[in-house]
Amino acid sequence: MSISLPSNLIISNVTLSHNTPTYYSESLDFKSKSVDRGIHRLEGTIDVTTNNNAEKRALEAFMLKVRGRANPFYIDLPDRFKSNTVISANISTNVAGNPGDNTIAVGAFIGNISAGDMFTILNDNKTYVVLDDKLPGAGLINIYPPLRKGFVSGTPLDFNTNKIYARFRQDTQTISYTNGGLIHTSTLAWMEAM
Amino acid sequence: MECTAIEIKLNDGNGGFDVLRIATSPFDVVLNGDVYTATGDVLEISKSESTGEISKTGLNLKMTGIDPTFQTHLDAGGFIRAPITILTCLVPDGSNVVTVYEYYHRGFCDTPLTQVDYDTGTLTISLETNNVFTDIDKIPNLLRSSMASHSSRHPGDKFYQYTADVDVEETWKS
Repeated sequence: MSISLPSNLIISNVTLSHNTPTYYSESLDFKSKSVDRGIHRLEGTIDVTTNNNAEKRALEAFMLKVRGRANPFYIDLPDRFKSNTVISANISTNVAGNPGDNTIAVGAFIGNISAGDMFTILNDNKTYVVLDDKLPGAGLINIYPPLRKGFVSGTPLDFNTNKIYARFRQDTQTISYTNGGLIHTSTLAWMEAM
Repeated sequence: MECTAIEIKLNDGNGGFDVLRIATSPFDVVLNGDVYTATGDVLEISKSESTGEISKTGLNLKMTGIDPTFQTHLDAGGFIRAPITILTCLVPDGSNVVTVYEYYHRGFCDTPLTQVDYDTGTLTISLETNNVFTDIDKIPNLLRSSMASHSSRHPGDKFYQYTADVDVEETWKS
């Protein structure tokens, strides 16, 4: 069952963290050494406010569909979380990908892929981030984190309708009934579900 | 990228092994041609102790109990005395093939314990291991100075028949 955050809520005060753990050591003379663990997780908080009576109920129903940390859900965020220019919907890979790869070979496409664009790959809920600009035309795009799963050539990439697959950080979720119960708000603390 | 790879040769109940290979990496890694799956099941690996004498000190491996896979093996007795190898691995960027690895621990699994913590809401499987020297620590199976041992070699001879009645420690002097 796929659960999504109700679509018409007013979303405000978004914070976003990139959690990239490393092994790090610092010697007595301050010389440091570090190694990447190849792990990345989006984490953040969003404030949601309901517009009307139906949305208030939808938000409560959403809370109980998700049930704290029990079930992951999709968050559909606009603007920065979608492609900068509209990229052709049929952008797809033209070489198979292996787990651990930090580049993806794409076929020709319309639009520009910008550094910082987020996208998802078919059959993989992880949100990947593009590291460098890529002009239209077939070629390689640099990504982080490294691919968590392999894929076959021709697998589509989603830059335009990608959603974050998230999980609540806590089991208890609170909704505030403000302004005499007219406005319902809630702060959702989430992390990417993997 | 660094990760830990764990190989457990679970007893399959027919005298053979059911090999379980898991890794703490975000994606599957390949080590010596074997795929170690990034199942996300390993929660904690305790530190490995070194001692100056031969000892069978093991370590504790904590795995998630939410996935029923381990529970199935646990119920079937698969973990009992199953050989376990834990390796620390280095994977170069852009690849999932382990190039450098070293042994962190080698030994045998003890019977795992399922632990439920209601406060933190965790369901874990705690697995104690003994290191490879556990065999040295075993009591040797030699003949004893008893009636049973003696009569197995010399049927009818009753040399030790009063041993059990003499409730004192035997001392053998040369």
